[in-house]
Amino acid sequence: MLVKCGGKVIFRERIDPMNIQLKKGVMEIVVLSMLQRKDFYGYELVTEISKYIEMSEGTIYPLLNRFKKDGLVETYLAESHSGPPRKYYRITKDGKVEYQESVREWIEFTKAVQKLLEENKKLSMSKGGQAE
Amino acid sequence: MTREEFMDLLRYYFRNINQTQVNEILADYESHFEEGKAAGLSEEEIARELGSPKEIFEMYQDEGMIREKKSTTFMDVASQAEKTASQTWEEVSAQLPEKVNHATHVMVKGFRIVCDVIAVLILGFTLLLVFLLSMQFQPVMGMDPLPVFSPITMGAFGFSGFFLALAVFFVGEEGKKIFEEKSVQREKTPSGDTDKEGEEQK
Repeated sequence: MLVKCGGKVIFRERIDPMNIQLKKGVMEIVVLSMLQRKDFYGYELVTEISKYIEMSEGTIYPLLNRFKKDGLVETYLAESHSGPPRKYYRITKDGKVEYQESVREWIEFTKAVQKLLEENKKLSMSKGGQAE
Repeated sequence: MTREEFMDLLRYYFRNINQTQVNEILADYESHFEEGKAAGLSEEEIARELGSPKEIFEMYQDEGMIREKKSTTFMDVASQAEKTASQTWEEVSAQLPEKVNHATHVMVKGFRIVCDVIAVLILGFTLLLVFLLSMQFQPVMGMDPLPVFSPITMGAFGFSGFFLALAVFFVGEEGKKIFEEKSVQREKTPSGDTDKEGEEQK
């Protein structure tokens, strides 16, 4: 479950498989959303996302690699003034299409969940029971 | 854990993976440590934020991203053996119907021959006995000759033997017919044999 801790949202660690699936799906859309805005290098992307959501930063790289394999993202090297060249990730056309699709699905899904929660709240209140 | 510990552990989980792939993957994490260091974080902090190497490895596995390099563990040998065995079985079983048919034919022929031989033997034996017994045959010198049986007894004995031989002979013939029927059925063409069979039995 999502837990707020110091203004940040945290996923309670592992175990629940549904949580992990959910987390994976969410991370995909989060990463694409970032890249849709601008190109990032790995560390930068992770740091940025960490401001909003806490997660195992190490798992970003396999995700990015999978995107690259699926053609949603491509990489290039760019010189950096502070050390060796950095590997940047750039979203592709396919990636943008995938992103739009994912956003649509996400909105539909969250709307449906919201509706369900409100329905149940209404029903449980009308029964004269305690508010959830 | 330290950077070295983290990378070593990661390398350990990826030990059975194609090393070219692994080097690429590890490079990502090496530069992550570099960037973190440049940002002023300690190795422990960076490693903690990265999460567990095991989880990272599992995620690469889940994504279907990695291929194992060829190794000869027992399981590899066992699964290779299993593959070979099932391939062989497929090849053999494809040939089996033929072979079974062939084997059946051989068996049938053999059966028939055996029956014929037995029939002939019985017949021969019967005739011999009948002949000998009618001659007061002395099997061994010094022994009393075998008693003479009445012609009726001899006749009955002879006929029994004769019909027994005939029966065995026909069993051989029938067996052949049944097998032929079965193999013909297998070849998916019904034949007139079935009719003959029915008639004979009547």
